[in-house]
Amino acid sequence: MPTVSYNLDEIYKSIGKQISLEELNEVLEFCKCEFKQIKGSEVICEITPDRPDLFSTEGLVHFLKGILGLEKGIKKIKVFKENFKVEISDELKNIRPYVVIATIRGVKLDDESLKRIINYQELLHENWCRSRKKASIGLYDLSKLHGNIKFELRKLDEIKFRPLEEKREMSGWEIIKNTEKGLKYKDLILPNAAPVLVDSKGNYLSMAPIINSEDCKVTKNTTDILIDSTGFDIDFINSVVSLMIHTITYYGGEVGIVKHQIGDREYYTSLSNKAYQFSLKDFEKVTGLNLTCNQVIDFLEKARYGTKIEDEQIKVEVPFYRVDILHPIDIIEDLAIIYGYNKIELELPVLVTKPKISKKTIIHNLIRDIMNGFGFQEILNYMLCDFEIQTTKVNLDQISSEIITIQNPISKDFNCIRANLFPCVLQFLSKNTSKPYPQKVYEIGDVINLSEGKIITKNKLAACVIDNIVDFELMHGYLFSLLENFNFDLTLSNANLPFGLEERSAYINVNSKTIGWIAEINPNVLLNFSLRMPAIIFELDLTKTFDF
Amino acid sequence: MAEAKPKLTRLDLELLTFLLEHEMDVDELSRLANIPITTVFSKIEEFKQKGWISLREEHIYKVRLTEEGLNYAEQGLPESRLVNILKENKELKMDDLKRIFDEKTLKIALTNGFKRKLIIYQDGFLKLSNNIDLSLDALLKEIYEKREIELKSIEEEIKYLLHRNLIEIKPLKKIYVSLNSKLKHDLQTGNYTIVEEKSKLTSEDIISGKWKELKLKQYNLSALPPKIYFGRTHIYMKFLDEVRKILLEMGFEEEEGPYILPEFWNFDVLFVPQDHPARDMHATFRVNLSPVNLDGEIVKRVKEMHENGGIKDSIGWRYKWEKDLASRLILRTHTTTVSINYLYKNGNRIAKVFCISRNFRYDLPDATHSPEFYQCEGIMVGPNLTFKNLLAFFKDFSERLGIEKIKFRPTYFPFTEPSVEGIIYHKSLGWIEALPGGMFRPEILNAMKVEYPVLAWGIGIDRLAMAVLEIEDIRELFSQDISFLRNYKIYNAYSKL
Repeated sequence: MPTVSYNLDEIYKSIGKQISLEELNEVLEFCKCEFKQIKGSEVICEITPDRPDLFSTEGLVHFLKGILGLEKGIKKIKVFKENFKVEISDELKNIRPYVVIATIRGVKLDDESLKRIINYQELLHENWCRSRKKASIGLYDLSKLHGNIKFELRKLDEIKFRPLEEKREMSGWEIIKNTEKGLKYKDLILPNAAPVLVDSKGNYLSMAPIINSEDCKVTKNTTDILIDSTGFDIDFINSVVSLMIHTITYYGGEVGIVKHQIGDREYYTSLSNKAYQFSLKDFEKVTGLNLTCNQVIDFLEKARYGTKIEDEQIKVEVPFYRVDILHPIDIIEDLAIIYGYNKIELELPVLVTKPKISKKTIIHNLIRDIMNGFGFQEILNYMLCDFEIQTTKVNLDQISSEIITIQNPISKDFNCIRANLFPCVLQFLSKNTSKPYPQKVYEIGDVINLSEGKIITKNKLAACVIDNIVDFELMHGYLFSLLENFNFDLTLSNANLPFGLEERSAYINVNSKTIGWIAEINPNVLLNFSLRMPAIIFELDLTKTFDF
Repeated sequence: MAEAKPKLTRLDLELLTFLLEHEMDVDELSRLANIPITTVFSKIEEFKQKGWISLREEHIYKVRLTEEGLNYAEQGLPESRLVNILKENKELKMDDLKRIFDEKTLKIALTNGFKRKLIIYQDGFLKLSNNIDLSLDALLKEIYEKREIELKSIEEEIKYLLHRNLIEIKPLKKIYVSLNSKLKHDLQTGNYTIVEEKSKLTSEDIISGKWKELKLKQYNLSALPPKIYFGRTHIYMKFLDEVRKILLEMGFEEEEGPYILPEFWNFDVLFVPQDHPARDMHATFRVNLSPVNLDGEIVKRVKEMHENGGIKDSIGWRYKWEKDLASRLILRTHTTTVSINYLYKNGNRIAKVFCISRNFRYDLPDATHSPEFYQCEGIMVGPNLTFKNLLAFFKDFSERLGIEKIKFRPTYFPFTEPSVEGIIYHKSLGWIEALPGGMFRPEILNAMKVEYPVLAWGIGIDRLAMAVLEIEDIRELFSQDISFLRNYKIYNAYSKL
């Protein structure tokens, strides 16, 4: 979940009073936002990723005012048409084909607000824009720019401008080699060319999606701002521009939309609100709540929607920056949130169904009863395992190709999925050599292996006795009694298991099916696990034994 | 008058005879006599009261090698290996060494080589100093061969090895027993009488009637009994079974599903967009198997769901959905995949289904994260189900588990709307997020051809188990310590709910 930081002073200022942190935390819950800590006048929170309009103090304040009933209904901004246009080159078609540009004229900024806006831009870059892969965002001082804007592809050695925070002009090559942002995002452009935004005088705005120009950057004295977003999907980059506009217009200004041209195609910046509708019945069907029209209107306006009721249909005007609304259900959720989840009267569902426990669970519990009666302690190991433990360490290199390995393991300890249980049991015992013996343990768990290209999951039981002296007869007795209790008649047949002592391992057969093995573990294997006591193990394939 | 002869039982005589030559510690006595330590202790107590023996305590340290220590005992300490190489080559450059040692070993060899003044660096070359002392290796070897040594005090060398984490030290108290001279003399000269005392009644005694005359030894009530390790279900499995029982009482049916599956069934059918961060290599484990071939109507429906919502009123995620990305095989990241697969197979049918099983996520293990963890998830499918019902279900469930207080908070999941997080109150831990849930989105129901509303819920079962079992580190749910599992007092946990 994104971590965001809100400015307490700005919150208090705009709601006109100080509220306790407890109260703040309560209202933050309406924003799916969780208070974590306070640093000076900043509140650090974790917020769900669906509401990027709330990632800024400005966006949060706008919504909070609604929840607190201080200001309701949809946000109104003045929109006009800019008299310049944006020309997009066809060459960018398969590279980074689109840009959306808008302006805000007449903003009043100061150091604090500028800092917050830049932080918001970075937060959007990281989360909503997926580290600039999906979209990049740029802000410029419009007064430094002239005429139409061009978005085109340029060779790196032809690009020359002074990047943000740098003291001198640099070529495209220098930018990707010598600047922090260049190194970080160079994989998002072609090896030798990048999309650039330039004005009619040839001044660079930016090399997208890497860095902007220092010469036209926004300062606290800027009153007219140009916003751009570049990417692959017009709708999406338009949503990014909308989010920036929502936050920046908190400081006033009128918004200019711009004509974009690619050859003979054209599109405009879109800041139109969207219309959705649903009925009170739809709302009741989902939530079980019975509200009056007036309540619905009140709640929707608190959630900063525009509302109208016509023929029992609730018509909702969704503000342009609400990028999370995909379906009326999303508005219905907002209504329920404003109503208050904790005020909802609880009502148990009436849904008569037949309970059913799986055969596997029943058998596991029966096995546990018996193994516990024998005095065995149940243990639990991860299915993620070290490949070496499953193979070399238990003399089973021959099953290497049957083991499913992880493409992106976090460490060697978890680089495959176990194909047998007993190596995990030995691994467990190796960590308990200083604990009292005898140690009698068992594990019930799933293993997965690859058989003729098929993924086979098996449920298994492994049991082990390890002590100064271990007694095969006794272990055989446990095994026999266990299976006898499930009406199985077991026979043993000679096996020469790679991890067993010679002539001291056997297959376990019932009804002419081999369902497992019992073996005294070869000291070579024991020593691989730093075990210095003899051990006898049996492992049963429960899937095969019980036909799960 | 001659002093009374001491009266010994056969067991007394057997134990005391071991002490004739020299004093012996209680552990060794128990081992040599092959008599349980608790019996030996109670005998020793009795001997002391009779004035036959004296006791002496000694504090010692048991020293063992750690994993790293074991390695070095076998291969030699890194700095000693470096010294041996320098003995053959006289002087070497750093670059030469980089070819011989891996980076980590080289760092250890150099740091300790300089610290112990075994090597010097001069004019760009490493050379041996004239002070080569490899006694540490000998010490490691000695511990290695004996597996464990006992020391009366901790010398510098041992401290140094401990500091380097090559050994583990366990302080221990030893109790030595020695015979007093009077008894020793009596034993040597045969000046004692053996008393036939029985400690255990036998079946034969009862049948023969001999029990009437027998003098049975009085129980020693102050002796500690031997520790008995009983067999027991793993505490976490026991907890999961409690949860399972509650769900059965509520009318749920148990389901399961595969651990390895295409992303399609883990993400795409649940409306998780293909560029969602949960799907990348740093969030989800991929397996080294070729992608599966996805086909059929469901693939078409899911593609539409992503691209345009698939139903009137929804706009979907509006991007080009790619089958290839959905075909990659992964380890499932949540059991919601079992719920959605059930819906797909059963369609519009009234049902209450749950699954308790393991999931996998790319999380480095720490106190609150584990790459493998349990989840308990389920769905309720039926006419007229509402969000109200889901909240009531959470409340009912927690009450059945013994949790009295619960509150709800809005949250977000790509596949449910409305979504909720149920937060429960635990007496010692306070409020804990433990019950996420919501109603499957209309886009998903449409793709699954389900008309009834579906309440989907999960239980952060690891978290809940940690709260109930009072475990602070999630890794302890898969504890690798047999003593923890054997000694865990399960009643304490349940009595605090």
